Amino acid sequence: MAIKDGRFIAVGDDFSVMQMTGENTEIIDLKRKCVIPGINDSHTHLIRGGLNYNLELRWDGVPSLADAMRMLKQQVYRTPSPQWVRVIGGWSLHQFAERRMPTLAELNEVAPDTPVFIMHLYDRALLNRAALKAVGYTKDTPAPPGSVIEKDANGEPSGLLLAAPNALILYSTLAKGPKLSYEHQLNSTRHYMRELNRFGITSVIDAGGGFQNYPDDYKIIAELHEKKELTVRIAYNLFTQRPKQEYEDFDNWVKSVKLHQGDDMYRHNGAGEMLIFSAADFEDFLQPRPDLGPDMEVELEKVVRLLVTNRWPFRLHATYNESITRFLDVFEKVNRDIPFDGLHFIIDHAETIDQRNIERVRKLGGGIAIQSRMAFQGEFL
Amino acid sequence: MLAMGVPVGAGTDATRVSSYNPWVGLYWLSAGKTLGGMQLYDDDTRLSRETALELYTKGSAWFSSEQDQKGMIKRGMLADIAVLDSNYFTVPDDDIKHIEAELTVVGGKIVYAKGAFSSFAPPTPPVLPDWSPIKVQNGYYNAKEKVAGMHVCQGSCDVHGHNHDVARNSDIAVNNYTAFWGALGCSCFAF
Repeated sequence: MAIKDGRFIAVGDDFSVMQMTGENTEIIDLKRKCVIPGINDSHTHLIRGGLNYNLELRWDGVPSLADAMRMLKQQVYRTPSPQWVRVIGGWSLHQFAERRMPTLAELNEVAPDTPVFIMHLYDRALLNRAALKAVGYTKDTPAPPGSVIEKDANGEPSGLLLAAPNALILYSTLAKGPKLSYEHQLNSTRHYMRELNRFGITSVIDAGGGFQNYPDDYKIIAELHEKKELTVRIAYNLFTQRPKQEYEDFDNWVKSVKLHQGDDMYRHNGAGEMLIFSAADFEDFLQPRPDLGPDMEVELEKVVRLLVTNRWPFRLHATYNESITRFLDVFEKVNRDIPFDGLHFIIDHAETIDQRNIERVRKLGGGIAIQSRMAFQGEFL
Repeated sequence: MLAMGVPVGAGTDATRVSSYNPWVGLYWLSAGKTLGGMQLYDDDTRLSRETALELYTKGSAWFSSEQDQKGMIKRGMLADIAVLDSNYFTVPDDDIKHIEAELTVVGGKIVYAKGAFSSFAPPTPPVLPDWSPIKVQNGYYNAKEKVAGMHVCQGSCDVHGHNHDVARNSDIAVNNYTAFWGALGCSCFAF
């Protein structure tokens, strides 16, 4: 292949491609290795991941709990006070040869003084005693609705936090930990992009995220873009942060953000994956499927009307078929008044979608973004 | 979805459930198995490797309305490629999970290089802060590098590297730290 100004100008056999070479052409022999188009992760959270990457110990791909605990021990030893050691997702107990997670007693033994916060899927967090102290949870701390702070025999928090099924408690507790400084976040994001490049990723679509405010939490990525230091192309969707004020957020954004603003390295991509909080069906497969509240349709319709009117593509977090049925009812209703007419919309996750709803998505001109979440927890189905 | 002609894009939802490693996803889609080795999908519902990769490239491009810009190695498209350290199309299923790039190019610019191409590797800044786990653990676990360094066992073994599924499905006491995870790291030499 021949490349010029960032694009392929010829693809073919050696002879025809070599015709394109000039005096300043750099020629690289790929040694007959397997070459693929760069990988594009169409639903990920690079921006948030980048802000935190250098803070987190990764158990991704670790084959045994014994190895994971050795890594944890080493990192506890390396971590200065008041910093935490945190393992935030990317692993599941099924990947370990032992087929279990660590116990709270094991965490306390490995880390008597350093706060340790371990998050497993979207279902639980394990905090050692030092972490409980750091977040200030006591016997009187109430758990938010849809979650549990487990208590021991004396009524004190044991260190286990459960999403049941609302994962907010996991994230809000995590948010109490120290953050990286601005300079370190720049460095962290560069290293995270490099880690994605390590696996052949060249593009992602960032689905926004809780505690990821626009534009405040996009300063890092925008600065790296400006300095031409992005090594992954990023299209980003805007995610509301304010329950019951979602419409105001999007109304403000459709006025202040130009659709697809940016360039082919960093580019706006519409709204979502959170459009309204009452539509969030939490994907905790260890818990019963949540039923969305009765206000959901009214709130969703208002936001979707606004987006379709402004021709903003949107994506919506939608795990279960039952939720998807209700979302599509709303989309079809809006479509009758204001035709989608080729506007891209995305159903995200769709683990249990049925054939009838797939057909409805097709008719409306939508797409379905699937992710490898079941690779980590198919055993729970 | 594919049979009905709906656009489908693949991804990870990283970093809080799934890992960001797309090869786990390509393994899941094509072998139809979980990371724990459980068969989730049968021959009718798992995808060919070609189709799985297509979802992660051309398929995903639709989701940012850039289907005319990227996702294929084709004249006029953005020059984004990955050169792999092993052949995705021919390695055994289990090895898909361990594939990495040796050279990654974004818009004609080399952003990552190692192995045969390490002389092209762009400089990387030192990891900050100094105590960052990334400084010593370096992200996703690399089974290929760790085998030699950490453990006595060698060869076909996949942990250190022994075959997990053999271990799990056997009567060997993998839950017993002292018996299985013995002084030498593990007892995988028994397999």
